[in-house]
Amino acid sequence: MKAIYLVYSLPVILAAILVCYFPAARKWVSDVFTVGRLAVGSVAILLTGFVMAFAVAPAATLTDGVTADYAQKIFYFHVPVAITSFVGFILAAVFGGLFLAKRERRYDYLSYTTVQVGFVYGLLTELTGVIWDKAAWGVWWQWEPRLTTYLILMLMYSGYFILRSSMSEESSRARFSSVYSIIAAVSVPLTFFSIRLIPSVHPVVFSTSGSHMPAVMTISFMVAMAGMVLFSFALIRTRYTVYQLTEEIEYLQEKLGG
Amino acid sequence: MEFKTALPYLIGVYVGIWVGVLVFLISMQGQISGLRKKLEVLTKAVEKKAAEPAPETVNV
Repeated sequence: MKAIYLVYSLPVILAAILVCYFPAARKWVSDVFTVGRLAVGSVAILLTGFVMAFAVAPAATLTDGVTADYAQKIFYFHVPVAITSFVGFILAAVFGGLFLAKRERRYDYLSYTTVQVGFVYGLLTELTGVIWDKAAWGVWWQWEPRLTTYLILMLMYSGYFILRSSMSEESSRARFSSVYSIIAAVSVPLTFFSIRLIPSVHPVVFSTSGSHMPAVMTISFMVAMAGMVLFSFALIRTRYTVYQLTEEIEYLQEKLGG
Repeated sequence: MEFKTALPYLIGVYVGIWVGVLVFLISMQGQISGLRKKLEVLTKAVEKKAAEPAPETVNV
């Protein structure tokens, strides 16, 4: 594996360890990345990424004459939303596992919210995917490994919402949903590695041998990627803040009533 | 359907989803500030209630 991937992932791993095991680090992150700042910052980075995709990043050379320039720009929209949807579904499984281990309601809510956000990103992935399909392959849909496994993944997460809405009893709904989110997350690595294990027409941009992109394209992609991930965190954080405040209000109302 | 015919609609849907999510995020920010105000009022009410002297019990 290229050393550059290690350089990218090390700060993330280090930050995750700090936030998980040190309450002071957790408090600092919570104080600095407030709901409003996270939302505004992520939108700003997202817009910068979009502008960079069209204004800064050079056009890739494709065989299809007219559509080549614009079809390739899909890369800056499609890949970041796809990766963020994967991150969301894996996080949902982590929160599901935490709920099963600790039986705290907040983890079930976090798991549910994360699946919702991941699902919206999944829809955006499908939408940008069909644009690419038609532009690059000349068809709207092809039963090739990545498209098929991603469709299965989306159907599995549709099942998550059906499961949740079919159960009215809160504790069993939380328990079953958590187990389901963990099982469904198995489809994430399957989808990710499908085109790396099975021969496919779907392009593989990032492999163990590097990204094969010019530095400007890589930077533009990284900015778009950071914007997408941060925006998803902003959505999750905002919804969770609403949940926390509602819980606190209910508690105080009970206290006043008693 | 021709690619050139469908493309504006697809981009429209894509942008539409983003706009929808953005509007949702902004509305949630508004909801948060509303909830914070409500929490503040309730906290003060609870503090006031705690500060009040307990009612005297009368033995008959």
